[in-house]
Amino acid sequence: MMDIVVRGGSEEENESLKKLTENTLKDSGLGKKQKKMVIITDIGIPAFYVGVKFKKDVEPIILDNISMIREQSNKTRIQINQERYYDQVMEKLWEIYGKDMVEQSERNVIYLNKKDDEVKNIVIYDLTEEIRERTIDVLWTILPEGFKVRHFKHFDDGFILVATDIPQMQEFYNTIDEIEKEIGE
Amino acid sequence: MFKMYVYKGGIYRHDEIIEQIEDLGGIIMQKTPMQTEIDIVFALEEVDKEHLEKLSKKLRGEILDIPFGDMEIAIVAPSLSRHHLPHPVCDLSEFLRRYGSTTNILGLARGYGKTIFQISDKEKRIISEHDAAIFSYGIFKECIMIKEKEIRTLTLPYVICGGPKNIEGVKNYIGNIGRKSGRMKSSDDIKTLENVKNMLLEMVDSKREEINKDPLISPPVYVKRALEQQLDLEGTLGDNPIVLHLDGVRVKKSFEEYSDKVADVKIGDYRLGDISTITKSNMNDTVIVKMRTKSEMEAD
Repeated sequence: MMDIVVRGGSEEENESLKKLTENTLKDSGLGKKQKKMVIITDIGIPAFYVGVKFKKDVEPIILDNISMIREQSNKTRIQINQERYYDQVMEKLWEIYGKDMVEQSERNVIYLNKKDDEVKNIVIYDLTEEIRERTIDVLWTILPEGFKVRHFKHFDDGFILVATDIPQMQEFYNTIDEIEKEIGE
Repeated sequence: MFKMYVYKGGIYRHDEIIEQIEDLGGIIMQKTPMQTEIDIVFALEEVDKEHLEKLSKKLRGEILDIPFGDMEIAIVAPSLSRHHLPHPVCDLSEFLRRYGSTTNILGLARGYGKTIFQISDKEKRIISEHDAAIFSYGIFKECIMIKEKEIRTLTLPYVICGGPKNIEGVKNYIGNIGRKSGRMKSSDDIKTLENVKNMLLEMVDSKREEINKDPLISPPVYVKRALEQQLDLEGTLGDNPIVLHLDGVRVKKSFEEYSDKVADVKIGDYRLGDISTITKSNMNDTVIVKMRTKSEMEAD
């Protein structure tokens, strides 16, 4: 089980929030996807700070993992081996090179109208991003309602969130730095 | 004074129970048959209960008190979002329904947050239409204290529920509820719900005593029966068009269409409009009938 630290409120409040967080993450199937979660409550301001660090047990899938790439005249031929990623590959290539540069000659063969060594490193599917989105969604049900002024700081393997109902203050940034150090360790 | 009871037993010979309730001057409120079982909700003078118990024992049934049977209770949540529903607000509502209450869950428009919390005058009027209210708040003491100040002006009996065990200076408070991620079914949770019920019951009993000191011109159960008979408003299994209040009834029909008809209903020698105040509900298009007391009638 992940490590959840809650502080800032009274012992009773922290315990309740910790229990609520554990149960909600467990119910949503995210309990084992995070390495550490730090929640700091400052009910005086009021503000809620959440720092999350994901487990690094799943590497992102890159184009080289799921296809055979070779150069042909001035083009790059990409033969995709796993059918479930067809649409994601097309979407990524369109996004990076534009629709004019991408041709689909057969169902599983795509031609890129240029040579590019970096094409094999394109990230097709990143589980971390999916976990990030789902964790953020779940956090809205954990944090008290009404704190709709939100500020994010994202990292490769986690993020820090501040939720409040007042305009942003310098105080937030100090606490963000503090959490960043804590979850980085 | 009438009290509310429920008879739980087999469907076989239940007509004898109904007959005896009517012979004793009681009023049948609702019958719910469920295959071979039946629940009969009825109002009866407390002193007559023992007569009925003899027959109920013979038929292997049981008679249970439903202390909130003649009440409509508001369960107020800061909003109708996932944060408060279904747990613990629906758990509270479900628990009180076991004791006969009709419960309405109300979500405030801006009941969440700390600095942005508000409760409008209309919301207060809607809550005040009920016989009692339960406010379900969160886990932070400071927020609960701010929110409690806003509802002090309410005159109906109310209980405040929240996370911290005790909060000094907050009246009628029950802790250990707060935010819940799962159903309140552990023994500790059920004890907490019992505490809510007991506190509410204590307050409601004192309100009943007040009503007894200056009794209503006609008990709401008679009014309900008269309305059902004269306006043909018998309920179905899923719908109960007339809800009892401690001091009147709510008729769940359009005010425009029914207010005059309700006022013309005969209660003994009186016209209902003369012995009650009939208003439109603030909550929805229903009719609220508040019975006048004997002293009010004499003063006129």
